[in-house]
Amino acid sequence: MMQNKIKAGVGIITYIIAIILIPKKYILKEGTLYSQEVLAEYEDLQPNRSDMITRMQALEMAQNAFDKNYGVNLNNPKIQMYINLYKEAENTYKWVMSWYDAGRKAAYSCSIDALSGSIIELYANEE
Amino acid sequence: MKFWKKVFLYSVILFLILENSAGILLIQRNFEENLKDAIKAAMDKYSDIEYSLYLNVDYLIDVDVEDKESIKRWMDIIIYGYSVGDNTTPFNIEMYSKDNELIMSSMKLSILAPRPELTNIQSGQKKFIIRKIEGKRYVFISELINIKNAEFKLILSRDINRVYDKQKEDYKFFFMTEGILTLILGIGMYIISKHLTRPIERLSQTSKEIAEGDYSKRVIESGRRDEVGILEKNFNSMLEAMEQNITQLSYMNESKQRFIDSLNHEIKTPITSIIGYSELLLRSKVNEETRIKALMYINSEAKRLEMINTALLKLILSREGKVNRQRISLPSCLMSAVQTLRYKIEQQQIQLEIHMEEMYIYADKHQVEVLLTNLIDNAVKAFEAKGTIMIYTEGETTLIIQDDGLGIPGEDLDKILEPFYVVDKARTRKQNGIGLGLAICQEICTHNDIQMKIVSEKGCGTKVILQFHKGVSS
Repeated sequence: MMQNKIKAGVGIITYIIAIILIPKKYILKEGTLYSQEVLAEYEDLQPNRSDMITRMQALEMAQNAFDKNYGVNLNNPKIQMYINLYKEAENTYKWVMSWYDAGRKAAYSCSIDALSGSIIELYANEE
Repeated sequence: MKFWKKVFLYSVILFLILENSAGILLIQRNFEENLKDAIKAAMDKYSDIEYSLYLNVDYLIDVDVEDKESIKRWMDIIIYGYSVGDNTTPFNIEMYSKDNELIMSSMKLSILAPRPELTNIQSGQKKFIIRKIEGKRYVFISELINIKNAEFKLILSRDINRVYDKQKEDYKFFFMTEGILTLILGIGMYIISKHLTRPIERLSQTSKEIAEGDYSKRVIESGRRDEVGILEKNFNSMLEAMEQNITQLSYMNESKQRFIDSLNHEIKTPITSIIGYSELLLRSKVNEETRIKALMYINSEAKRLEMINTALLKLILSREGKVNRQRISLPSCLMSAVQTLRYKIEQQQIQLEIHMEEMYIYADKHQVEVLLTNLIDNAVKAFEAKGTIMIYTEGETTLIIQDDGLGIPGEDLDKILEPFYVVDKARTRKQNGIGLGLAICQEICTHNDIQMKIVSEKGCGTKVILQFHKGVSS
């Protein structure tokens, strides 16, 4: 009888200790340096910098496209320009550029995939 | 400890162990997932800044990578000038030269602890560390980046304390819920365990009372259809059987005592007479007439003793003797019995009427003859003067011996099968009876599978019904 009680007590204590300790083994501790590899589901796509379209390259591509398709020269200090970098989805970035020619009251916009260099949108609005 | 307390205590303990285990595991798992998600989100932000830097390497082309101020300005424009990724969650950026010289920092907190994320940095692989600063937890992500062929250490830090706050809230909620559930369970288990063990308590109480001698005690059946209900029923059935056995044993004990008393009396009476008369002959000078009278008494009582001995021997033999059961003719046995008693019947002028056809039974021939002789002899003794005895069959296996003699009083009917029991002692003694005839009949019936029933009423005669085991064929 007494032996059974001791066995049951030992069993319960072991169980409680296991419940408390086992999860701690898998929890990220404070003050410990970890590599990104410990995050099993995290996928870090390192950028291929040679294929990237930089800011200046994107501007040049857009200006060439407008010149070629609409015969518009946007390389003019009088034309206002705005440029932004957006992230659309995971590892998907695009340059979004827009121009406003106050003299001609014309607006132009272009968006380019920053990683592949493909022109996503080319838009011109002239009165 | 009482059984209901054990049921109550064990179920509550088991519930607490299982609930705590499940709750802690669930909260810890949830916390771990949230923590990893927060770190991943910080890493995504780090990647966004890293992309922004690489996509703007040709912007402000005159930036001198050796000039800290120039780099700082460039960084500010790039980091805060674009709408890349999530800008709603605050973050801090630190930039160090390869020699760990601070170039720029938006960090307002001072870190006193060692910074392994700065010293153990690698290119192409992000490292992270969780650190507690001023009561809040931050994740620091670092990587070695290359801008214009110059290497920099870029560190992003973000407040992730909400994950830890969430864990605390989860634990609070869990323990509060657990407390309420344990209370409800405790009340529920108390009621259930009491309800379940109440019949067992009743059984225990009843068995205690029975052990103290109250055999009439019964368990109040709860009417349940479960094992406990069955146990209550079986317990009562057991008590019923036990009480019947006790009554039977008690009756047997009384019968035994009566037998001993009767035997003692039956033996002692002739012995006393023999001793008395023999002493008279030895000690006194008696005349011839008295001497002859005394000797006759001694002879008569000695014969009675021999008769008792013979009858007892018959009874013992009928109880323990071997039974040779076979297919026999009942009329043949009856004729043999009648032949034995013919002189007595004729002397008492009794009319004997026999109406029976050939009937075969399965029994010991000699014992059946003794049985029929005893029963007919009893019928003969039942008459004060002349009368009629009728012997007839009913159906294929029933034989009835009926007389219109004195009959037996109702109160004696259940005792007449006991050895030495006689209804009228004086009359029986007068007829040289000792009260063993029916006891022998009863033993013969038991050994030969014959059912004997005696129906009688004082003054109306007696009817003995014998139900035989049918022979193989008739």
